[in-house]
Amino acid sequence: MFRYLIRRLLAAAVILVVISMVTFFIFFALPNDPALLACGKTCSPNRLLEIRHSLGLDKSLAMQYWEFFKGLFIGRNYGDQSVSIHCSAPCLGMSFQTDTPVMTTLLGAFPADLSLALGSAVIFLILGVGLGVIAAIRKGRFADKFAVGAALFGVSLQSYFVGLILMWALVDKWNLLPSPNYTSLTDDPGQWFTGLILPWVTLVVLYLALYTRLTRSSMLEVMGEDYIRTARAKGLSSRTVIFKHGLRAAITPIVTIFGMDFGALIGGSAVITESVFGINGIGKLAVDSVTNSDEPVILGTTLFAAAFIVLANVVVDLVYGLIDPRVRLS
Amino acid sequence: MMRRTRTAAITATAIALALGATACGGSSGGSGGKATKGGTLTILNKADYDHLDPQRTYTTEGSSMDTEIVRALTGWDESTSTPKLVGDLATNTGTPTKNDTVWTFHLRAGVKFQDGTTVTSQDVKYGVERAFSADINGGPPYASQWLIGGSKYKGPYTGKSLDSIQTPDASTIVFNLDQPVADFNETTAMPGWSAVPKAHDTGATYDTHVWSDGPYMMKSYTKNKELVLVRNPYWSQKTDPLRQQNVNEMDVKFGMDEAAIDNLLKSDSGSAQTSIQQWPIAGSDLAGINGDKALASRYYKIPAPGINYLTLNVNRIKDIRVRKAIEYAIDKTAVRGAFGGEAYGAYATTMLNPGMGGYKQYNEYSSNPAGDVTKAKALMSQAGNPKLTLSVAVENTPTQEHAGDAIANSLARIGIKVNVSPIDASTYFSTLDNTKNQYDMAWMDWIADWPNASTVLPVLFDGRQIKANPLSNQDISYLNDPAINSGFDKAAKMTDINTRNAAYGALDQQILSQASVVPLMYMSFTELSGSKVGGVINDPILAEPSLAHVFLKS
Amino acid sequence: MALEISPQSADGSTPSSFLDVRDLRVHFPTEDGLVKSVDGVSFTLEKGKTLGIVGESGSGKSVTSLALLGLHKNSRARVSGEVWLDGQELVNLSEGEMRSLRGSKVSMIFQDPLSALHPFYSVGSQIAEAYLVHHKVSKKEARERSVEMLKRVGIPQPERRYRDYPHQFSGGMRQRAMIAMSLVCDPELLIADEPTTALDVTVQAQILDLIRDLQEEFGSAVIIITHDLGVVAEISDDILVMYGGRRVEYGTVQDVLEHQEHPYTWGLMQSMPHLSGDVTQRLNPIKGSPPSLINLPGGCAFNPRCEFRDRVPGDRCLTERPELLPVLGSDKHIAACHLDADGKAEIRGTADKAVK
Repeated sequence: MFRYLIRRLLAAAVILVVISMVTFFIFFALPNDPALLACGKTCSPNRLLEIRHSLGLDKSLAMQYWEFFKGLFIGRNYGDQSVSIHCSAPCLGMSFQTDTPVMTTLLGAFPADLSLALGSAVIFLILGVGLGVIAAIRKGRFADKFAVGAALFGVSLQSYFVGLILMWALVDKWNLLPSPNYTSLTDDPGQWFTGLILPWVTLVVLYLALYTRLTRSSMLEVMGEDYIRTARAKGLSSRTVIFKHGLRAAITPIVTIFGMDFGALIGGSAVITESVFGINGIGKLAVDSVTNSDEPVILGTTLFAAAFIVLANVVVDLVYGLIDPRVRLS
Repeated sequence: MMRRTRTAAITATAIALALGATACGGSSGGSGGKATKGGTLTILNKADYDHLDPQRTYTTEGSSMDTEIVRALTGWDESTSTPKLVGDLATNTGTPTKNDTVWTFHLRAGVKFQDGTTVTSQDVKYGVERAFSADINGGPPYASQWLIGGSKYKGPYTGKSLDSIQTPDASTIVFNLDQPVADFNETTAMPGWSAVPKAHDTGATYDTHVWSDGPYMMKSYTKNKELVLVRNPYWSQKTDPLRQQNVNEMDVKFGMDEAAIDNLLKSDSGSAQTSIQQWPIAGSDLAGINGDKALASRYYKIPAPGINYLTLNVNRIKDIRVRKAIEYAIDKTAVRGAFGGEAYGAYATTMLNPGMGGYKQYNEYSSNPAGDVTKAKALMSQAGNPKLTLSVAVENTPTQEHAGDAIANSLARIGIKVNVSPIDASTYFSTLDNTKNQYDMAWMDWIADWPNASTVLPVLFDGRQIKANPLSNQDISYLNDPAINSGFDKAAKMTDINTRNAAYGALDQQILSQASVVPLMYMSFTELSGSKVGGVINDPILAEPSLAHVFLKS
Repeated sequence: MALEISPQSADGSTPSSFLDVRDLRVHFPTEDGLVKSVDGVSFTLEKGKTLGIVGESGSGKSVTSLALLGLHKNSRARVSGEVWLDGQELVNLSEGEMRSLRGSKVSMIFQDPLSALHPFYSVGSQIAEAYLVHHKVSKKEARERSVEMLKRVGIPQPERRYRDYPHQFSGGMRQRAMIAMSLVCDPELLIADEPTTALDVTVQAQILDLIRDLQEEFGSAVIIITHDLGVVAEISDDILVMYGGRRVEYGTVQDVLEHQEHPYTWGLMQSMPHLSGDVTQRLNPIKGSPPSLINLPGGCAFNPRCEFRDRVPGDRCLTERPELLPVLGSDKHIAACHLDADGKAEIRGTADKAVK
């Protein structure tokens, strides 16, 4: 098990290095010249060269990547003059736009995504799996049709639509909720909660459908298995049969998808929701960095998100082992 | 001002207007009521400032916010109807000698930094020198263009100082320029001409550590999230002719959706009552806000020192008769329709905005903004009715593409086929500023750095920059007329403001007579505040709601 | 509609047998029509005795067994008839009451134990769970009981194997574990659904021996469901042959195997390899495939596949459903075939010849 974990983590590290290289070469090879953007209007060629040098853009791409890579482990210094800035390891580079270490920016944005992801995931997972189970055991009846219909309705909506409608109704029209905003949990738990209600609801509406349908189909499949019949033949109560025997087996595909979704969510994939509610998360950071040609931040956000997705995959595999003994031992 | 930021805003505004706004010249209000002390003003912005480092800021929002934190040598008193240049950090607007090549400023006594130390001329010298460092990039180029030795100097971090800035004593600073600059003291109203204490300079990270000598200082600043400004206890009203220190705190929040900000301010609920925005109202909301009488008292429509125009590349459209035909043929009503109609701004016939020093009212071409097709056709036939296919560059936004279509339709009337070339908005200016671009015509806009023709005409039409700055050329018309170039040189040397303004007015007309550019519209920007925000001044120089006198009504 | 004769008169009286199934019907409404999986099946079984239910796939034998466990409750199936077990009628029992009987009084060994055991729980815990649900004992006691059962069914090192998962067991071991699970509550009626189908021949014999031994030990009534007459011959007292959801022949092992009365039973006999038989003798499987349970063929359901249909005059096999009639010379043996006694005797002779 331990060796398996080590092997998986090593593979994950290799994947991340490859992703970093690809991202690096794609974005740094763009025709956009960050130095020109930093230079401002009426930029003289001399000044442009100086700024290129100061941003380290005068070195070869391979050299730039190597410095980036080194920085991940030993940190690096920016500027060679009296006011040089140190970016400590793991250094993901320095934003061209804000002159702050990308890692600092990412860590600043991360709690918002984590709150967004955790809060919504708890709700959509419980509701989605719950509705899915109900739909499966009441297959073809009203509860099933209602759950599937509601889920389908949710999935066909878009987050900006849901978000804006909710905002209009609950915030503007009836003033039931304060305008959504992200407040740090440590600053004010109450505001943290109320400010995130709408973003959570929006994400839940979007993801609920997926999890309801996934659970439903997975449960239907499992409930037709021989071992469920065996469980009933033992005289177990239907609750035990459904949850202990049915759901336990049906949860495997849900865990897979959830791992990916959750990894992507904390990596900033809820970018539209972030934008609609003005939550400064990683997704928004990524979009802004693309608009600003802020390559170090593009690279940083890409890697950060990739790291979570890769990590989520490793965790999913480990959870598989916990769920399914056949995986554990092979 | 730097165009990127503002251009994004303009585009958004225009989309909304295109949705059917009717202009009814909203009165700008808000300054009524007696100033009270205290409270927290919330500023809601969709994005963080590019820079607040005074030597790096070049956007209207950043410059406006910097005004509350740092004091430049001079400043604009906007409490009267026309902005008036006054001494800010300096006692007066400076003394030019040696034919405007040497400018001397004396600092006010008793101006202090946030730690209580006195602001000295050395601090100002150091501040100005910072802008020469490659790390302190993004700001205006004037210091390095004009100060003697500026092209070689690499900033104070190398351990060297710039000899052309002299500080004979702690309260006197002298700038030695390599050319006469008659409006140098207007340049020094930009935030970069301010004091930075060497001990508190953090280099490239100074954006979040600006050391205040203005009424407000940074308490905390998390990039892209929140900036909290609090009173600078060492600031004294007696030393400051421009600002007041009414509110206890200014809390700038970044990253809210534009529409959400507008709705919040419109709703005027809770903390929105004490909030204001620095980015213009989003396009989709302007229609509803512009005509809403209930909002009029907290709706600010601020004329910008800016121009929306179409360049005609004189190297590619060589026949001046064809260019003139284009001048007559463009239907500005259709183009303005694409940008949102009357609310966007008035039709322009000059490159200089009416609010600007040097503005001269004239119209070289069609008196009807819809164009004069007969005249245009006559010019085309004089030119031998060439079969022309021209390209026009626009940003790839619906607004701009519609504007491109309006231009194409206009010119189709005189037999010119136009291909509209939409370019990604984020790379639009860097593409067009590169002299390698191959477009016959291009949409452009420009906001002046200070309300003087010298920050518009030479910047946009001095053809000598084509060679000098091939990657950041602003002369998109490629006009390189020796007579006009030398006209700029002469005007710059004129010390009498009226003579100089007259010279620029004449140059404006001279440029238009070359038919190298079609002025389309003069611009204005709109913002909202909450009902309890008072003392907001329309700042036509930055096209921002100035917070210099802002207070919260009790 | 022809009357079917039950060995006991269907007078609604409380039966004297331990298990008395009367006119059991299990129908499934589907979009294509009513699937009559079990259509009027009756039989009896005493404690300590074994009944073999024989038939092809889809003949209704497994559905019958699930009905005995009440596993059709809360499903779309419509169950009618009576199932008397130890004086208690099961068809109209509530799900809650039925549940308390499942696994304790009636239990079942399923075919293919790899899919019938939950892959995510250890074998031991699944056995213990079956015990715990019917007994108020501690987990430790349940565990001890399960280990004991594993030992009883011949699993070596039961303490260690308790923690193993089904996929770590061999096929035979899994079936033993399955048997241990079904016997853990000392059931009075044990239903074994194809208990040996997935196993190789030597293991088959061991498992059958095991069931027989355990039956003797516990005195349970056993129903073995199989398509393999050999298995039935080895272990059963009675045989019920089902075709298309109905009984076609029913009697003691001697009755049915030695005096088959129905061409379908003969067909099953011929399709079965004899251990003692001539290895060069080719098997002779029944031609055609089992009938649709929605539209059974008219007359005798077996008629499309019956080689002897023409021997019955007047197309009776196609038009008239044969009644289950007592066979002369036996008090239990009944069969449903229009052939007359002479015809049957003649064919039985050729069939036997063909086999032997």
